[in-house]
Amino acid sequence: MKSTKLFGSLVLVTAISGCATGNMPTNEIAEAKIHISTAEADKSEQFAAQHLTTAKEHLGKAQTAVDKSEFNKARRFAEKATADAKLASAQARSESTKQKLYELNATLIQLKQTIDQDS
Amino acid sequence: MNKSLIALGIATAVVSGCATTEMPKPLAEVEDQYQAMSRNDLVNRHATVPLRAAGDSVSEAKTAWQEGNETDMEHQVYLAQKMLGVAKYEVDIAKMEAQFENADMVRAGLVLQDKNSELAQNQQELKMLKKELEKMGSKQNADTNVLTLGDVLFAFDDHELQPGAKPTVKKLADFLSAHENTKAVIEGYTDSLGSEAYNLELSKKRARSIQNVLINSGVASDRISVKGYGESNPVASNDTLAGRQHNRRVEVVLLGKNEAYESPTVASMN
Repeated sequence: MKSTKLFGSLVLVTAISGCATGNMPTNEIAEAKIHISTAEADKSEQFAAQHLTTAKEHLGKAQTAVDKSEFNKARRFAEKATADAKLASAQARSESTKQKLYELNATLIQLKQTIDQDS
Repeated sequence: MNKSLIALGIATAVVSGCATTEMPKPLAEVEDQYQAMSRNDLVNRHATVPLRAAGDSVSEAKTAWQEGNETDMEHQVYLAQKMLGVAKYEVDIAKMEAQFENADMVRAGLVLQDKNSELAQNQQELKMLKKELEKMGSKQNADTNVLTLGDVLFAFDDHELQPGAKPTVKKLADFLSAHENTKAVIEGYTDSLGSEAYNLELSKKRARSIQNVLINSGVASDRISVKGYGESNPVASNDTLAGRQHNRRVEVVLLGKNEAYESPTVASMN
Protein backbone atom coordinates (compact mmCIF):
# COMPACT_ATOMS: atom_id res chain seq x y z
CA MET A 1 0.00 0.00 0.00
CA LYS A 2 2.59 2.43 1.09
CA SER A 3 4.99 1.46 -1.63
CA THR A 4 2.37 1.78 -4.38
CA LYS A 5 1.67 5.36 -3.26
CA LEU A 6 5.35 6.10 -3.27
CA PHE A 7 5.68 4.55 -6.69
CA GLY A 8 2.70 6.56 -7.95
CA SER A 9 4.12 9.87 -6.79
CA LEU A 10 7.45 8.91 -8.28
CA VAL A 11 5.79 8.35 -11.64
CA LEU A 12 4.03 11.71 -11.33
CA VAL A 13 7.30 13.54 -10.53
CA THR A 14 8.97 11.88 -13.49
CA ALA A 15 6.09 12.77 -15.71
CA ILE A 16 6.25 16.45 -14.74
CA SER A 17 10.01 16.73 -14.94
CA GLY A 18 9.87 14.76 -18.16
CA CYS A 19 7.64 17.35 -19.73
CA ALA A 20 9.64 20.29 -18.41
CA THR A 21 12.27 19.99 -21.11
CA GLY A 22 14.92 22.68 -21.43
CA ASN A 23 14.63 26.19 -20.05
CA MET A 24 11.76 28.56 -20.16
CA PRO A 25 12.06 30.43 -23.53
CA THR A 26 11.58 33.87 -21.98
CA ASN A 27 13.78 35.67 -24.51
CA GLU A 28 12.22 33.96 -27.52
CA ILE A 29 8.72 34.89 -26.38
CA ALA A 30 9.76 38.48 -25.66
CA GLU A 31 11.37 38.67 -29.10
CA ALA A 32 8.23 37.36 -30.77
CA LYS A 33 6.13 40.00 -29.01
CA ILE A 34 8.48 42.78 -30.12
CA HIS A 35 8.41 41.64 -33.73
CA ILE A 36 4.63 41.37 -33.68
CA SER A 37 4.37 44.99 -32.45
CA THR A 38 6.82 46.06 -35.15
CA ALA A 39 4.73 44.27 -37.76
CA GLU A 40 1.63 46.04 -36.47
CA ALA A 41 3.43 49.38 -36.62
CA ASP A 42 4.31 48.57 -40.24
CA LYS A 43 0.57 48.33 -40.97
CA SER A 44 0.63 44.58 -41.47
CA GLU A 45 -2.97 44.38 -40.29
CA GLN A 46 -3.81 46.20 -43.51
CA PHE A 47 -1.16 44.79 -45.84
CA ALA A 48 -0.10 41.39 -44.45
CA ALA A 49 -3.02 40.16 -42.36
CA GLN A 50 -2.38 36.49 -43.03
CA HIS A 51 1.18 36.42 -41.74
CA LEU A 52 0.31 38.61 -38.76
CA THR A 53 -2.50 36.24 -37.77
CA THR A 54 -0.17 33.26 -38.06
CA ALA A 55 2.40 35.04 -35.91
CA LYS A 56 -0.17 35.69 -33.20
CA GLU A 57 -1.42 32.10 -33.34
CA HIS A 58 2.12 30.81 -32.92
CA LEU A 59 2.72 33.15 -30.01
CA GLY A 60 -0.50 31.91 -28.38
CA LYS A 61 0.62 28.30 -28.85
CA ALA A 62 4.02 29.17 -27.37
CA GLN A 63 2.33 30.57 -24.26
CA THR A 64 0.07 27.54 -23.96
CA ALA A 65 3.15 25.31 -24.18
CA VAL A 66 4.84 27.36 -21.47
CA ASP A 67 1.81 26.84 -19.24
CA LYS A 68 2.23 23.10 -19.75
CA SER A 69 5.96 23.45 -19.10
CA GLU A 70 6.67 22.19 -22.62
CA PHE A 71 9.55 24.55 -23.03
CA ASN A 72 11.17 23.16 -26.18
CA LYS A 73 7.83 23.20 -27.94
CA ALA A 74 7.23 26.71 -26.63
CA ARG A 75 10.59 27.86 -27.94
CA ARG A 76 9.84 26.53 -31.41
CA PHE A 77 6.45 28.25 -31.50
CA ALA A 78 7.98 31.51 -30.30
CA GLU A 79 10.66 31.29 -32.99
CA LYS A 80 8.01 30.61 -35.60
CA ALA A 81 6.01 33.61 -34.37
CA THR A 82 9.10 35.81 -34.76
CA ALA A 83 9.70 34.55 -38.30
CA ASP A 84 6.01 35.09 -39.20
CA ALA A 85 6.08 38.60 -37.75
CA LYS A 86 9.23 39.50 -39.69
CA LEU A 87 7.60 38.24 -42.88
CA ALA A 88 4.45 40.24 -42.09
CA SER A 89 6.57 43.38 -41.58
CA ALA A 90 8.43 42.91 -44.84
CA GLN A 91 5.28 42.24 -46.82
CA ALA A 92 3.51 45.23 -45.27
CA ARG A 93 6.42 47.55 -46.01
CA SER A 94 6.59 46.24 -49.54
CA GLU A 95 2.86 46.74 -50.10
CA SER A 96 2.77 50.24 -48.67
CA THR A 97 5.82 51.20 -50.75
CA LYS A 98 4.03 49.82 -53.80
CA GLN A 99 1.01 51.96 -52.98
CA LYS A 100 3.10 55.09 -52.54
CA LEU A 101 4.84 54.42 -55.83
CA TYR A 102 1.50 54.00 -57.52
CA GLU A 103 0.30 57.32 -56.11
CA LEU A 104 3.53 59.01 -57.16
CA ASN A 105 3.20 57.71 -60.70
CA ALA A 106 -0.38 58.97 -60.81
CA THR A 107 0.84 62.42 -59.72
CA LEU A 108 3.53 62.39 -62.39
CA ILE A 109 1.04 61.47 -65.09
CA GLN A 110 -1.23 64.27 -63.90
CA LEU A 111 1.68 66.72 -63.89
CA LYS A 112 2.64 65.71 -67.40
CA GLN A 113 -0.93 66.15 -68.61
CA THR A 114 -1.13 69.61 -67.06
CA ILE A 115 2.11 70.60 -68.75
CA ASP A 116 1.04 69.21 -72.10
CA GLN A 117 -2.19 71.17 -71.85
CA ASP A 118 -0.37 74.39 -70.96
CA SER A 119 2.08 74.26 -73.80
CA MET B 1 26.27 -20.00 -43.97
CA ASN B 2 22.63 -19.28 -43.91
CA LYS B 3 23.07 -16.96 -40.96
CA SER B 4 25.80 -14.94 -42.55
CA LEU B 5 23.73 -14.58 -45.70
CA ILE B 6 20.94 -13.07 -43.64
CA ALA B 7 23.42 -10.80 -41.89
CA LEU B 8 24.73 -9.66 -45.25
CA GLY B 9 21.21 -9.07 -46.41
CA ILE B 10 20.49 -6.95 -43.36
CA ALA B 11 23.72 -5.06 -43.76
CA THR B 12 22.93 -4.37 -47.40
CA ALA B 13 19.49 -3.25 -46.49
CA VAL B 14 20.87 -0.91 -43.86
CA VAL B 15 23.53 0.51 -46.16
CA SER B 16 21.30 0.89 -49.16
CA GLY B 17 18.61 2.24 -46.87
CA CYS B 18 20.93 5.06 -45.84
CA ALA B 19 22.24 5.67 -49.31
CA THR B 20 18.86 5.93 -50.96
CA THR B 21 17.27 8.07 -48.25
CA GLU B 22 16.85 11.31 -50.10
CA MET B 23 16.63 14.64 -48.40
CA PRO B 24 12.99 15.36 -47.53
CA LYS B 25 11.36 17.38 -50.27
CA PRO B 26 10.64 20.57 -48.25
CA LEU B 27 14.24 20.67 -47.05
CA ALA B 28 15.63 20.05 -50.54
CA GLU B 29 13.39 22.77 -51.96
CA VAL B 30 14.23 25.38 -49.38
CA GLU B 31 17.92 24.62 -49.83
CA ASP B 32 17.63 25.06 -53.60
CA GLN B 33 15.84 28.36 -53.13
CA TYR B 34 18.45 29.49 -50.66
CA GLN B 35 21.27 28.57 -53.05
CA ALA B 36 19.60 30.39 -55.91
CA MET B 37 18.99 33.52 -53.85
CA SER B 38 22.47 33.59 -52.37
CA ARG B 39 23.82 33.80 -55.94
CA ASN B 40 21.63 36.86 -56.62
CA ASP B 41 23.40 40.20 -56.37
CA LEU B 42 20.33 42.17 -55.35
CA VAL B 43 19.54 39.74 -52.55
CA ASN B 44 23.09 39.93 -51.25
CA ARG B 45 23.03 43.70 -51.35
CA HIS B 46 19.56 44.41 -49.95
CA ALA B 47 18.62 41.36 -47.88
CA THR B 48 21.85 40.34 -46.15
CA VAL B 49 20.27 39.70 -42.74
CA PRO B 50 17.31 37.49 -43.76
CA LEU B 51 19.50 35.65 -46.29
CA ARG B 52 22.02 34.79 -43.59
CA ALA B 53 19.24 33.72 -41.20
CA ALA B 54 17.79 31.48 -43.92
CA GLY B 55 21.23 29.95 -44.51
CA ASP B 56 21.67 29.23 -40.80
CA SER B 57 18.26 27.57 -40.65
CA VAL B 58 19.00 25.45 -43.72
CA SER B 59 22.23 24.21 -42.10
CA GLU B 60 20.47 23.46 -38.83
CA ALA B 61 17.68 21.67 -40.68
CA LYS B 62 20.22 19.46 -42.46
CA THR B 63 21.99 18.65 -39.20
CA ALA B 64 18.66 17.82 -37.57
CA TRP B 65 17.75 15.61 -40.51
CA GLN B 66 21.10 13.76 -40.32
CA GLU B 67 20.49 13.25 -36.60
CA GLY B 68 17.02 11.94 -37.33
CA ASN B 69 15.39 14.82 -35.46
CA GLU B 70 12.37 15.42 -37.64
CA THR B 71 10.73 17.99 -35.37
CA ASP B 72 13.76 20.28 -35.42
CA MET B 73 14.25 19.73 -39.12
CA GLU B 74 10.69 20.78 -39.94
CA HIS B 75 11.00 23.72 -37.57
CA GLN B 76 14.18 25.00 -39.23
CA VAL B 77 12.70 24.48 -42.70
CA TYR B 78 9.75 26.65 -41.64
CA LEU B 79 12.06 29.39 -40.37
CA ALA B 80 14.18 29.23 -43.54
CA GLN B 81 11.09 29.56 -45.76
CA LYS B 82 9.93 32.64 -43.86
CA MET B 83 13.36 34.28 -43.99
CA LEU B 84 13.61 33.70 -47.75
CA GLY B 85 10.20 35.33 -48.03
CA VAL B 86 11.49 38.32 -46.07
CA ALA B 87 14.52 38.49 -48.38
CA LYS B 88 12.27 38.58 -51.47
CA TYR B 89 10.24 41.46 -50.03
CA GLU B 90 13.39 43.37 -49.09
CA VAL B 91 14.57 43.13 -52.69
CA ASP B 92 11.16 44.31 -53.94
CA ILE B 93 11.32 47.28 -51.58
CA ALA B 94 14.83 48.18 -52.74
CA LYS B 95 13.73 48.02 -56.38
CA MET B 96 10.77 50.28 -55.70
CA GLU B 97 12.92 52.74 -53.81
CA ALA B 98 15.11 53.00 -56.89
CA GLN B 99 11.98 53.87 -58.84
CA PHE B 100 11.19 56.59 -56.31
CA GLU B 101 14.54 58.21 -57.01
CA ASN B 102 13.86 57.85 -60.69
CA ALA B 103 10.43 59.41 -60.24
CA ASP B 104 12.02 62.38 -58.47
CA MET B 105 14.20 62.93 -61.52
CA VAL B 106 11.27 62.56 -63.87
CA ARG B 107 9.36 65.12 -61.86
CA ALA B 108 12.29 67.52 -61.84
CA GLY B 109 12.59 67.07 -65.58
CA LEU B 110 8.92 67.77 -66.14
CA VAL B 111 9.00 70.88 -63.98
CA LEU B 112 12.07 72.13 -65.83
CA GLN B 113 10.45 71.43 -69.18
CA ASP B 114 7.39 73.33 -68.00
CA LYS B 115 9.46 76.27 -66.82
CA ASN B 116 11.52 76.29 -70.00
CA SER B 117 8.56 76.28 -72.32
CA GLU B 118 6.84 78.96 -70.24
CA LEU B 119 9.98 81.08 -70.23
CA ALA B 120 10.70 80.49 -73.90
CA GLN B 121 7.21 81.54 -74.83
CA ASN B 122 7.23 84.56 -72.55
CA GLN B 123 10.62 85.65 -73.73
CA GLN B 124 9.51 85.66 -77.32
CA GLU B 125 6.55 87.83 -76.44
CA LEU B 126 8.63 90.05 -74.22
CA LYS B 127 11.12 90.65 -77.03
CA MET B 128 8.31 91.79 -79.27
CA LEU B 129 6.86 93.95 -76.55
CA LYS B 130 10.22 95.56 -75.97
CA LYS B 131 10.56 96.27 -79.68
CA GLU B 132 7.20 97.97 -79.72
CA LEU B 133 8.01 100.01 -76.65
CA GLU B 134 11.27 101.04 -78.26
CA LYS B 135 9.35 102.21 -81.32
CA MET B 136 7.09 104.22 -79.02
CA GLY B 137 10.12 106.07 -77.74
CA SER B 138 11.25 104.12 -74.68
CA LYS B 139 14.82 102.90 -74.94
CA GLN B 140 15.11 99.30 -73.69
CA ASN B 141 17.98 97.64 -71.85
CA ALA B 142 19.31 94.14 -72.40
CA ASP B 143 17.37 92.39 -69.60
CA THR B 144 14.61 90.37 -71.17
CA ASN B 145 12.29 90.59 -68.22
CA VAL B 146 12.68 94.34 -67.67
CA LEU B 147 10.56 96.75 -69.68
CA THR B 148 11.56 100.38 -69.70
CA LEU B 149 8.94 103.07 -70.02
CA GLY B 150 10.73 106.26 -70.98
CA ASP B 151 10.22 109.79 -69.72
CA VAL B 152 7.98 110.58 -72.66
CA LEU B 153 5.20 109.30 -70.41
CA PHE B 154 5.52 112.12 -67.92
CA ALA B 155 5.78 115.89 -68.17
CA PHE B 156 8.78 117.51 -66.50
CA ASP B 157 8.54 117.38 -62.72
CA ASP B 158 5.13 115.76 -62.91
CA HIS B 159 3.91 112.32 -62.00
CA GLU B 160 0.67 112.39 -63.97
CA LEU B 161 0.77 110.35 -67.13
CA GLN B 162 0.65 112.29 -70.36
CA PRO B 163 -2.31 111.47 -72.61
CA GLY B 164 0.09 110.13 -75.23
CA ALA B 165 1.38 107.56 -72.76
CA LYS B 166 -1.78 105.50 -72.87
CA PRO B 167 -0.88 103.15 -75.77
CA THR B 168 2.45 102.33 -74.14
CA VAL B 169 0.91 101.43 -70.79
CA LYS B 170 -1.85 99.53 -72.55
CA LYS B 171 0.78 97.27 -74.12
CA LEU B 172 1.96 96.43 -70.63
CA ALA B 173 -1.58 95.90 -69.34
CA ASP B 174 -2.33 93.56 -72.23
CA PHE B 175 0.77 91.54 -71.53
CA LEU B 176 -0.07 91.20 -67.83
CA SER B 177 -3.65 90.24 -68.63
CA ALA B 178 -2.44 87.55 -71.01
CA HIS B 179 0.00 86.12 -68.46
CA GLU B 180 -1.90 85.56 -65.26
CA ASN B 181 1.11 84.01 -63.55
CA THR B 182 3.31 87.02 -64.09
CA LYS B 183 3.82 89.65 -61.44
CA ALA B 184 5.22 93.09 -62.04
CA VAL B 185 7.38 95.32 -59.91
CA ILE B 186 7.28 98.90 -61.10
CA GLU B 187 10.43 100.84 -60.34
CA GLY B 188 10.49 104.62 -60.68
CA TYR B 189 13.72 106.50 -61.43
CA THR B 190 14.61 110.17 -61.90
CA ASP B 191 17.65 112.11 -63.02
CA SER B 192 19.94 113.74 -60.50
CA LEU B 193 18.48 117.24 -60.71
CA GLY B 194 16.77 118.30 -57.50
CA SER B 195 17.14 116.90 -54.01
CA GLU B 196 17.49 113.21 -53.41
CA ALA B 197 14.46 113.03 -51.12
CA TYR B 198 12.31 114.89 -53.62
CA ASN B 199 13.42 112.59 -56.44
CA LEU B 200 12.70 109.50 -54.36
CA GLU B 201 9.16 110.73 -53.78
CA LEU B 202 8.68 111.73 -57.42
CA SER B 203 9.94 108.37 -58.68
CA LYS B 204 7.52 106.55 -56.41
CA LYS B 205 4.59 108.71 -57.51
CA ARG B 206 5.40 108.03 -61.15
CA ALA B 207 5.53 104.29 -60.53
CA ARG B 208 2.17 104.54 -58.73
CA SER B 209 0.63 106.34 -61.70
CA ILE B 210 1.50 103.40 -63.90
CA GLN B 211 0.21 101.01 -61.25
CA ASN B 212 -3.12 102.83 -61.15
CA VAL B 213 -3.56 102.64 -64.89
CA LEU B 214 -2.80 98.92 -64.82
CA ILE B 215 -5.28 98.29 -62.00
CA ASN B 216 -7.91 100.31 -63.88
CA SER B 217 -7.22 98.10 -66.90
CA GLY B 218 -8.20 95.08 -64.83
CA VAL B 219 -4.86 93.76 -63.57
CA ALA B 220 -5.20 92.48 -59.99
CA SER B 221 -3.58 94.90 -57.57
CA ASP B 222 -1.69 92.17 -55.72
CA ARG B 223 0.24 91.41 -58.90
CA ILE B 224 1.77 94.86 -59.09
CA SER B 225 4.06 96.41 -56.54
CA VAL B 226 5.78 99.76 -56.60
CA LYS B 227 9.30 100.93 -55.76
CA GLY B 228 10.77 104.41 -55.91
CA TYR B 229 14.53 104.53 -56.46
CA GLY B 230 14.92 108.25 -57.16
CA GLU B 231 18.17 109.17 -58.83
CA SER B 232 19.95 105.90 -57.99
CA ASN B 233 20.92 103.39 -60.68
CA PRO B 234 21.24 105.83 -63.56
CA VAL B 235 21.44 104.20 -66.98
CA ALA B 236 23.24 107.15 -68.51
CA SER B 237 25.33 110.14 -67.47
CA ASN B 238 23.46 112.87 -65.62
CA ASP B 239 25.83 115.48 -67.10
CA THR B 240 24.04 115.69 -70.43
CA LEU B 241 20.48 116.46 -71.37
CA ALA B 242 20.12 113.23 -73.35
CA GLY B 243 21.60 111.22 -70.49
CA ARG B 244 19.24 112.74 -67.95
CA GLN B 245 16.33 111.99 -70.25
CA HIS B 246 17.30 108.31 -70.24
CA ASN B 247 17.57 108.31 -66.50
CA ARG B 248 14.04 109.63 -66.03
CA ARG B 249 12.21 106.39 -66.55
CA VAL B 250 9.99 103.67 -65.14
CA GLU B 251 11.23 100.12 -65.30
CA VAL B 252 8.82 97.23 -65.09
CA VAL B 253 10.38 94.04 -63.78
CA LEU B 254 8.31 91.03 -64.79
CA LEU B 255 8.48 88.02 -62.51
CA GLY B 256 7.39 84.46 -63.19
CA LYS B 257 5.31 82.39 -60.79
CA ASN B 258 8.20 81.35 -58.58
CA GLU B 259 10.62 84.17 -59.14
CA ALA B 260 11.51 86.54 -56.33
CA TYR B 261 12.13 90.23 -56.79
CA GLU B 262 15.67 91.43 -56.36
CA SER B 263 16.36 95.09 -55.79
CA PRO B 264 18.59 96.53 -58.46
CA THR B 265 22.17 96.85 -57.34
CA VAL B 266 23.22 100.44 -57.01
CA ALA B 267 25.18 101.20 -60.15
CA SER B 268 28.52 102.91 -59.93
CA MET B 269 27.78 105.47 -62.63
CA ASN B 270 27.21 108.36 -60.25
